[in-house]
Amino acid sequence: MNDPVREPPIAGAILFLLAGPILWGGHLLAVYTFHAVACAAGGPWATALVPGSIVLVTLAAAGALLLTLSFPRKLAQVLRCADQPFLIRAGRLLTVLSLTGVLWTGSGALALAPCAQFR
Amino acid sequence: MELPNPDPRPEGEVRELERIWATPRGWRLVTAVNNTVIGLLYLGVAFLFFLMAGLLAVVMRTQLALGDNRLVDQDLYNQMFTVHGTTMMFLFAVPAVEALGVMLLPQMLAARDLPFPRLSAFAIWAYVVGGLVFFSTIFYDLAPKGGWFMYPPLTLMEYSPGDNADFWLLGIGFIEISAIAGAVEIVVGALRTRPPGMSLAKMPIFAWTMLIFASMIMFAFPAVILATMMLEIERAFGWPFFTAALGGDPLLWQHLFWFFGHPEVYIIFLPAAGLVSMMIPTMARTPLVGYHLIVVALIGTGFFSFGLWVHHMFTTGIPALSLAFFSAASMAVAVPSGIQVFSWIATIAAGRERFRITTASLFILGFLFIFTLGGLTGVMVAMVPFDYQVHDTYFVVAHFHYVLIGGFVFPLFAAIYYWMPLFSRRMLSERLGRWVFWLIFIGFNVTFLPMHLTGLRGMPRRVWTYPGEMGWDTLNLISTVGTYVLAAGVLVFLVDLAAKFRLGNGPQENPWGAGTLEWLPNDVYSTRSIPHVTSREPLWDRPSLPQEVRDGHHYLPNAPTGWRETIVTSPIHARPQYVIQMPGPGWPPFLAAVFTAAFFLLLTVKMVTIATICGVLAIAFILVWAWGLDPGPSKGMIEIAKGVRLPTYMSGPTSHSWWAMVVLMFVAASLYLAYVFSYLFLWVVSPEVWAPTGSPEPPPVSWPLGSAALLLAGSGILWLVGRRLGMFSASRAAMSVALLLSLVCLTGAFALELRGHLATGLSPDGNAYGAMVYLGAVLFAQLVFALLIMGLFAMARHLAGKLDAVRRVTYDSYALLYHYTVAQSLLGLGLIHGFPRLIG
Repeated sequence: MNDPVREPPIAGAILFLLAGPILWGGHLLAVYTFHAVACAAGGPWATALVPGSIVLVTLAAAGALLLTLSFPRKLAQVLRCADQPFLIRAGRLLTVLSLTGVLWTGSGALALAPCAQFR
Repeated sequence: MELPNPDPRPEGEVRELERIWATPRGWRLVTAVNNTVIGLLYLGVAFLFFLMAGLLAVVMRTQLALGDNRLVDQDLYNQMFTVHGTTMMFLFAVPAVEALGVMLLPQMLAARDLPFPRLSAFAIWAYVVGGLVFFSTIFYDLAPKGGWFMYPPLTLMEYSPGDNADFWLLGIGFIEISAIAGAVEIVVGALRTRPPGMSLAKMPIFAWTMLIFASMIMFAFPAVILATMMLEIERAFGWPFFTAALGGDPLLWQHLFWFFGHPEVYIIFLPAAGLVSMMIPTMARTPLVGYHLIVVALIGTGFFSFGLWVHHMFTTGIPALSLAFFSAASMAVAVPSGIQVFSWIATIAAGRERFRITTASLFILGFLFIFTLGGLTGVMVAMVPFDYQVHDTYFVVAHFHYVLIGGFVFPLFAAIYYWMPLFSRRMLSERLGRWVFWLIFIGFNVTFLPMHLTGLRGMPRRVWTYPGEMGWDTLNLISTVGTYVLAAGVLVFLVDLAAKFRLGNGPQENPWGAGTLEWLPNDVYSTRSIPHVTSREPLWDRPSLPQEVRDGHHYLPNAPTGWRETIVTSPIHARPQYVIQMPGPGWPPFLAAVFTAAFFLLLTVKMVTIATICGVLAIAFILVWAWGLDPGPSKGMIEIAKGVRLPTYMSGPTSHSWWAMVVLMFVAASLYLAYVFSYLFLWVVSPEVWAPTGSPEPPPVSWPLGSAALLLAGSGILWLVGRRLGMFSASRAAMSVALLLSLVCLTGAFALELRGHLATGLSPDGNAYGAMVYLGAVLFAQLVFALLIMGLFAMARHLAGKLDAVRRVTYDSYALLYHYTVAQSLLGLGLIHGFPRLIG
């Protein structure tokens, strides 16, 4: 039987709402995986490459988050529903939280030795 | 607003609803599936586990009251703290949250029930039987001793012989499956059974929290299910996932466990926060301040909690920079939690009148105080240097009890006092309630506040006794006294409960003057009619709503199909889409749960033959249960309101069964991703055992290609059948052949994959690489087994005339899981066969 009532796809709404946290998750996964593998492999290249790469990935993630923040209304056009303002506001706030998280996480690379242990 | 059903309703509709929704009596009560009955039983049993685990805590505290005490011996003490922690986390907290979801969610959404009532019944009975057997192991020296997180290598067979650890691994693994069943129900329920008009932006905060809770279960629990599978397989068959000498790594367990374990804290806390967000506006008599902010905070907390797991592993030797990533995330998660706390305080302050002080309010205020302290010490232990100092000391014990008891037990007590009138003819005593609160509040702080100092003075966790001269005696004695005060508070609560609780509806419909839908006039069928919702506090904004609902002036005031039914609405706007016909009481879910529990528990004690018989019986009862589902479109369209007619059957992406299958696929995908992580993790740790240098080379590429071709062929067959189901289902032979062919392709692909590795001489117990390769085959085999049953079941339904182009839910579910299996297996083939070649 066909759906009697059409509305924007829920997957689109979820993706829109969670774009920020998903980018945050992707960033954490990327920097942690890269760091773990680089330090496990060892060698001088790891020390040289790790901080710069993490800063680069962090800036890329922050850029993507800022982009999401700048164009939510255009992105939300695909949803076209009564809850659009709610989704935009919530999505924006989540993106701001995620941006804070990404910058906070990435800033460690500026202060700490790449593969050293605390003790 | 124009009423959906403005005309007077005919007589006899309410009696018909009462007949259809009647709760079975006597010994048939176990067949009940109604959410209020199931939910109460669920909560009651969860509370029983709370009491039993609490008693263990009292004994442990008595043992620790003085140095060199000999009340219990070391071995029993180890069993006690393991069972205490395991019970509180797995058998009390998560089930209690699910119980509240099952009980309250349909009421708050004014749904007649959640969409899969028999699944709820299955989940609860599986949990009751499995949980009771697990807990009882403490009485006959069979309880696990490895702590609630069961770290290997301590829990490997070499260091933990006997069945004790297996009871944890199989028992808890199985209860996690029960939790996932509940999560499926809650996700679909929250998104699809809301009343017309209740769009996402009008959804009660508790429904948001339950949605996030269930989504977190979907992604967190599979990691620990995989971990328990791996540890049990290593214990039983020697596949060395965690044995360092053979390329395994005990730290893999910690990663998988804490990827579940940390979100678990928020899985418990977020619904409790949801309860608080529902109660505070009522007591402050004003709408919640910052609804949007709270939703954002809930989603943010739920999401960020998955990025914190390594903060339980700060002392495991991970490089400092990685620790900094997780330290930052651990501190960042305090931001959304703080948003909620400030929002609650603002709501209390914004109230038109003074915040009403009842027992529930006291517990809420206690929660705010205690949870905030727990949150602050949480930020302290998120800082790596501080964590190094207090790791595995009583400081951590104090911290997580402040978080968990403050963040969950206090809101739970508040919720019991607040929502009791929905389920009991008499309210609990406010006078005794104050005694309960103060005894618990004072007892709690006297117990756990000194533990911060005990920890800072160096007392480690999990020690059964300590030398008297260490200077810990006084603090421990104070903690023990506090425990008895806390226990006295719980005892007074039990006395009050025994004196006042009488099943039924309360003396007043809405004693607190709340604004949400659970306070509408209720009966066994929930509300007489399902209201049209236009705001977040419909009872405040439309005072006539209770009477309108009672008089049947809203949606579905009757039972037009003669079945139990509720309205399924669209996920964003909550527009009515169709009416779901739900099954009533029955034995199959109960018996399926009992035999599933028996299967796992008998397997634990190595009674393989009887366990297998129980497993077969469990599957048989599940099939009997499933046979009665998918009623087809025979009831046609029905009128749920004046001029509003809805279908009584739906298939495809709009149907609730499709949604449930998609949720299950997410669970399966999470489990598989945890496997991919484990494979790559062990390679990073021990590349020397990996093929092609440390192990036999993978089979020639023709093997995986053959396997992939068969998988794609099977998927193609089902795609074609799905597109032309009318044509195929018209012919018994064509449909049967197509389904059989798809199963042959699937089993053929699996056989090729397994045979290929066996032919290379790779052994699963030789090293971690072999173990991971064959674990991939085990995960593939699980899905093949499920699809074999589903495929043959679909064939049987087709032969019985219960599957055709319209009545196709069984087929759709089979095809969906099949396509998912193909996708997962192709990824697996790429990993298992491609990765060694890539690194070689």
